[in-house]
Amino acid sequence: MLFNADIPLLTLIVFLPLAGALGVLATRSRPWTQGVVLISTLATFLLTLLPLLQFRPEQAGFQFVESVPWIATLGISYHLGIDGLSLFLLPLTGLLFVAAVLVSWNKVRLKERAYFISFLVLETGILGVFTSLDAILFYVFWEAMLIPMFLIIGIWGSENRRYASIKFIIYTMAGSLFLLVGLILMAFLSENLGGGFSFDMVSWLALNVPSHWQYGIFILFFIAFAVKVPIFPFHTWLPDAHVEAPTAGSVILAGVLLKMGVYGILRFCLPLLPEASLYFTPAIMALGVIGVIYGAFVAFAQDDLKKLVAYSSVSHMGLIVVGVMAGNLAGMKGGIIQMLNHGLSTGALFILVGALYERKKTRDMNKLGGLAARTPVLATFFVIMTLSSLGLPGLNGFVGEFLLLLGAFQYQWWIGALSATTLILGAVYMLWMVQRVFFETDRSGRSEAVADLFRPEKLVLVSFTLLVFFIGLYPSYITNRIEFTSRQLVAATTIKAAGPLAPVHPVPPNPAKVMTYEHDPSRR
Amino acid sequence: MNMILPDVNLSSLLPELILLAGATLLLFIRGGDNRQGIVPVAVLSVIAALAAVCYLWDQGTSGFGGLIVKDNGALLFQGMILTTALISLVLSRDFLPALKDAGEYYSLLLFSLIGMGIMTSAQDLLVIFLVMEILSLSLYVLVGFMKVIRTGMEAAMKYFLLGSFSSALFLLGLALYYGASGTTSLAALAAPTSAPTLMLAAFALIMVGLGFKIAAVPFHMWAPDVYEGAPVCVAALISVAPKIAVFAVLLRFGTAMAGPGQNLVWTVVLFMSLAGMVIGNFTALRQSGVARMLAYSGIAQVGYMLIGLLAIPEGGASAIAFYLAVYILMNMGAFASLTYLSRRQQETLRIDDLKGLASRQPWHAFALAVFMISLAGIPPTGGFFAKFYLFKIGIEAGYLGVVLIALVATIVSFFYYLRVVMVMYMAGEGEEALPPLRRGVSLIGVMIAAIVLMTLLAGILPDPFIRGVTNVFPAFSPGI
Repeated sequence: MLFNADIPLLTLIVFLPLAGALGVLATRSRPWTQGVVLISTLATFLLTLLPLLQFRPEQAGFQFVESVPWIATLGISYHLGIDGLSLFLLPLTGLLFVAAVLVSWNKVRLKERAYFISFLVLETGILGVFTSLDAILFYVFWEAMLIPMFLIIGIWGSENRRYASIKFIIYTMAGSLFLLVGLILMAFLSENLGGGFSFDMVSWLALNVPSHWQYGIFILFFIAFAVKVPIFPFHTWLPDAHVEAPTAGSVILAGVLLKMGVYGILRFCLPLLPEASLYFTPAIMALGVIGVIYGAFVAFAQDDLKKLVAYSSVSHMGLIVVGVMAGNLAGMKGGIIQMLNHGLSTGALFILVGALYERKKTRDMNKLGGLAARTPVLATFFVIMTLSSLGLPGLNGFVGEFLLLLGAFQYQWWIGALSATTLILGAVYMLWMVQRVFFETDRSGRSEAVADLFRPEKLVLVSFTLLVFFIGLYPSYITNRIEFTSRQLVAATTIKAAGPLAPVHPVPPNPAKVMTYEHDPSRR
Repeated sequence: MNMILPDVNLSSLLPELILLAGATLLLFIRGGDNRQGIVPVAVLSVIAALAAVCYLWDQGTSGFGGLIVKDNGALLFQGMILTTALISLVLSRDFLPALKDAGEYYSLLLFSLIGMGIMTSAQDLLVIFLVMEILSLSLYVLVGFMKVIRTGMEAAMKYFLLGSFSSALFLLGLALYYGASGTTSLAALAAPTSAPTLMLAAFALIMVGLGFKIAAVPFHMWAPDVYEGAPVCVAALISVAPKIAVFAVLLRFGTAMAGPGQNLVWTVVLFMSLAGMVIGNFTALRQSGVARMLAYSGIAQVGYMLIGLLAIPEGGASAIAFYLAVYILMNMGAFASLTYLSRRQQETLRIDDLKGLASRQPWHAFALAVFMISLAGIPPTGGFFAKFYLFKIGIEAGYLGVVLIALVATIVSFFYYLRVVMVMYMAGEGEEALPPLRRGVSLIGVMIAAIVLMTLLAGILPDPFIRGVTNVFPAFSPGI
């Protein structure tokens, strides 16, 4: 055991980047700045790997828990802990931040220290969101993280950056304020139900929220998370933010930030408000499916590479939402795995698109072409990541998409069928993109030599590729560890809503749910 | 009729007496090129008054036959006012040119503090009216103090005219109050009245007078002009200190007024709150001057604070006190930044003048960004927990709808607060609108740094603050 219970491992993980940010303040020259940043992100990444080694998949509840009172007068505590849901999101965050630092290596020309400080503060915020078990602590991290992201897009982005940054922050802030009201209402409910005025999410899990409260609170929660995911009608900030953000910013946005939305749904909506979750499932499914198809079609129409990848994210995140809301084990597991996969493959795609942009100064696919011969390494990685993203068997995307679609089919065959179009449409726009950029003839009209990937970029992509194969070939490493959490999450909606509450608050029978329950082989 | 001298107990006015001594002394100190002694005397008397506040803490002193009660609530508010004044003194020292009549300036400032101090502890409407006039008259003069600024004179005139009008209405309300209850004491609020309609009219008029002082909508028209025209250091004081004093009065009112007959009054407060949040935030969007923007932001902030007034039984007083404490930090901080930037400049600072501040003065830009983020209520700053506490109390009191509207208004406010951040960080260098860079350590710079730290501290460890105010407010006597 490297770390025993006495050492606050999660606190270390969360605040190490912040300490790094303070360290950066003290540096005076570029090598020092970059050195401090790299060391602090790498150390954070290594620390995030430790929970993987010591996590006990079969143990119920949260692990590595730390809890001290914070604002006792308002029932707020400093409460950290992780379960199967957050277990893999921590190393994903750690890895993507190391990648973000490496792809910015020697490239930031403007206010370099501020750039890296923003990233480190952002990392603390994101890690805090994934580990906090107190609702207000969660909310503080959730909001505090927006300011550095706002600055990253707004200062180091491309031409239209100011518009994109304010749109990003207003959308997400607007959503999260409703979350705040929802959280306060939950705390009052906890008081009324005898749990004391408390924002502790673990104690909330034991509450049976009265059904007439569930719907309102669910909507308040859902808006915040839907904006973040983003689920279909709330997605319009995403293309702007992704396109205008600097490469490393897009990597973090697509790789981790979007996961926070799904994480929120799984952490708050399903376990705390099962009845409302069940009630709203058809609507959310519909939005998810619309997102899948709409995102794919819009991606298909893009000429801008970054926009294409951004809309593909809308499509993929829609599929994840469909899966986790399906209310069966396959969909849930698929959703959690696909969160990782999407982080890896989309993160990598943004790195590659950024690299391409630096070399060719354009992201317009009509002005690219024939790059496979001139930048073979870049092209190879690009193809691998594209295939991972569209779900080629043997790569990570397949595992996630297969489980997600299985879940969707178990829910309703036609939902599954509609969602499955992502396989075809995804293949179409992704492969067409590869064809236009790397094959065909060069349309740029400039035939000078193009540099291939630099060493830091290669380093990042090799590690990503290894992970892509690892998850693709050995998915049970992950599924074993998320098994328990997934079962709990699925059970939350089915048991809590239909079980003990039923005599008190009769729930309208849900034929879809009953059928799923009986026909789900994994429940036996 | 036998005259019994009321028990005077001068010690209940100890802080005010110290300030009075200081203010009188200042009138005798000659100004001139070297204003030696003026600022130290002013600062020392404020600090001595603060010490007196600490001395009176927990003693529950009362005097003048119960007209003045220095309970902990009053002392807390007075302490906050004096802290604001200290910050404002540092700003004045930095901003004001070496005037011949500087002594009068500081003397008037101390007089306004006397007015506000008594307001927090007065139990009688007549006393409240008198001290409100002391406060207002000092402020009218202070607004127009720099005679070279034409807009300042205009602002002072406007402030004076509208202010006297509102005072007249307050006085009329006081007369009606006396007619309805037969006394001017706040204690009469708790008793059932025989003339409810008359009482209601009295309340309405009194609310006009008080609402004017805190720039609550619809009595807010003076604020933008005054904030823009007044010397920055005076605008800073006006934006915070009278609000603290008036909220102390409003809280005494509200705590005493539990009768169901006063429902209409609460509706009025409710609408003032909603209108403040909506009008303040939406109008702030369109402002180009920093001071005007802060004026409308202040109008909106009063709207938020009035939510606490609606929720007095649920602990609204603590929420308002906490909000005000944080508001001192963030608003005085913002004005301090403004002073730092616009030193001795006669034209007003526009938001666009801040362009590229982050490259030229990174630390200063950071400080201003923290204040804006805190005013917007984004964690991890004190502004977040202040809003959070207020909204929590509001929901507890059953005003969920009001809180939801407050949220929408808050979202609107992000636009203009974050616009300042955007201009500083995301735009290129502006024209040379800003004065040349300051170098070295200045008192105001140190103070800004301290306020930034306090703002962040209030957001990271708010528990001591909140516990402080919740401990105080059971002791806040409801107008008796």
